[in-house]
Order: sequence, then structure tokens, then C-alpha cells
Amino acid sequence: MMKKEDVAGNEIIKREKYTKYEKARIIGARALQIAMGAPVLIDTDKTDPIEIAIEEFKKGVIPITVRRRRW
Amino acid sequence: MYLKVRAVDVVRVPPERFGEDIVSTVKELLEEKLEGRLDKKVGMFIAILDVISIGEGRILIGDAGIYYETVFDTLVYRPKLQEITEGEVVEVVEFGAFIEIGPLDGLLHISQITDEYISYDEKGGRLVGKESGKSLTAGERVRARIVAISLNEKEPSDSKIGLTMRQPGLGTYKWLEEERAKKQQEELK
Repeated sequence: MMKKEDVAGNEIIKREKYTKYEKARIIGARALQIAMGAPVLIDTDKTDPIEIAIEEFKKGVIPITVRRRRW
Repeated sequence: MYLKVRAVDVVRVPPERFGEDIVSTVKELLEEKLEGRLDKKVGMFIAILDVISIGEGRILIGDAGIYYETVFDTLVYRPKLQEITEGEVVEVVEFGAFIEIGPLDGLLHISQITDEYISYDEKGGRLVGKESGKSLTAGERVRARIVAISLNEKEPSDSKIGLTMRQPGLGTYKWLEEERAKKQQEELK
């Protein structure tokens, strides 16, 4: 964790890692996309969209970011 | 009248189209979504001209698509009250004539064609003035003024646009030509 201040001087805490909830949300969203026909971004022998999504997440290639509302 | 409008809308890109070029995909999806659609405030969408910018995509829960807020230029037809418009007569019926003005048809009621009494000639499919013999048939070009607008967003073809030609300078091209010739002759005298 890292402490930072925004323009207004409010202290904001920026997490460098995803929480387990965010991780689940990202992998879930990505797995749904793959299941619905989105192109896969890695070379893999896996066929299960969830497993493909997990592998993509581990390699850091999923083009999804998290918008955090309050921290 | 036709207008070029800058508009903002959200468009859903389905997962099977993720790999493609985003600008052309969004443009295509906007065309699919909007072209032919009628909005009371904006008018009827004729074409998407340019995609100006595409915002950050949003992913909703339970939906594999990505929603992009996009700014784009579009060509619309927006009928305006008191607007002078030119068009072609597409059909003549007992109670008047339908005039094609842009993508929509306007109704020119029989009482709004000329100042004189006018009757419907069923066999000829035309409307004839009693005194002057002025006639109105399908295919003729006319100039008219829009006097009533009632748009139906769900069923654009059910929209009603009322027209009038009972004003100086309005009428079929033929009548206007005749009037002009008459005026010139009078001036020569």
C-alpha cells in the first residue's frame, strides 16, 4: 500500500495489487467475454474459458482496469 | 431541413467483435442502432458521418459486451414549423396529396392546395381546381410550407407532417412558372 494526496489534499490510498474481489470480478468478466466469442490473447491448450481467463490474468494481458469509487 | 449534428451516445460492442478496429466497429454499430431512427428532438438519423471520440469502455455485471460512450457527427433530417420545403408528390388521394420531403412524407390536405375549390378526379388520380384548372398529380415537384408536425418515434412512418401551399410563392413548379410568365407579360405591357 502506498499513501498519496490528490489535488484537493485529501489523502488517498492507492493499492498496487487487486483485492481478491477485484481479481474475481476481472477474471469473471474476462471469462464471460471469452465464452461469448471474444478473441483469446494468449497461446494456450486450455478450453475452459475460466481457466483461460486465469492464465491471461497471471500473464497480465487482460485489458481491464478497475475504477475504484472510495477507498 | 438537413443538419449535421454532433451527438453523444453509448454503444455496446459485443465480445465477438473485440479484436477488430474499434473506430470502424463503433461506427458500424452506431449505424445499425441509429440510422432510420426518429427522435423528436434531434430528428431522423440519415447517416453517421464521423466518429469523433470514443471514451473508456465500461463492463457491466452479467454482460459480456463493452459499453463505450462515443461522440460522433451525424446527418439528420429535422422538420421545422414554418420551414419552406420542396418535394415530389408521391400519391394523390381524395383528401389531398402526400409529398415526399426528405425521408418523411408530408400530407398536403385538399383544403391547403389552392384558394379555390378543388375536386378529386378519381380516374386521372389528380386534383383539379374548379376555376383555374390547376391540377396536381403524382410525380410533380412542389414547394410547400410545413405547418404541423407530429412525430411518432416508435413508428416513424406514422409521423404526420402537415403542409400548405396556400401562400404566395408556393405551389407546383408548373404553377410557379406560369405565374412568373404572366407577371413578365404584364410588365411588358
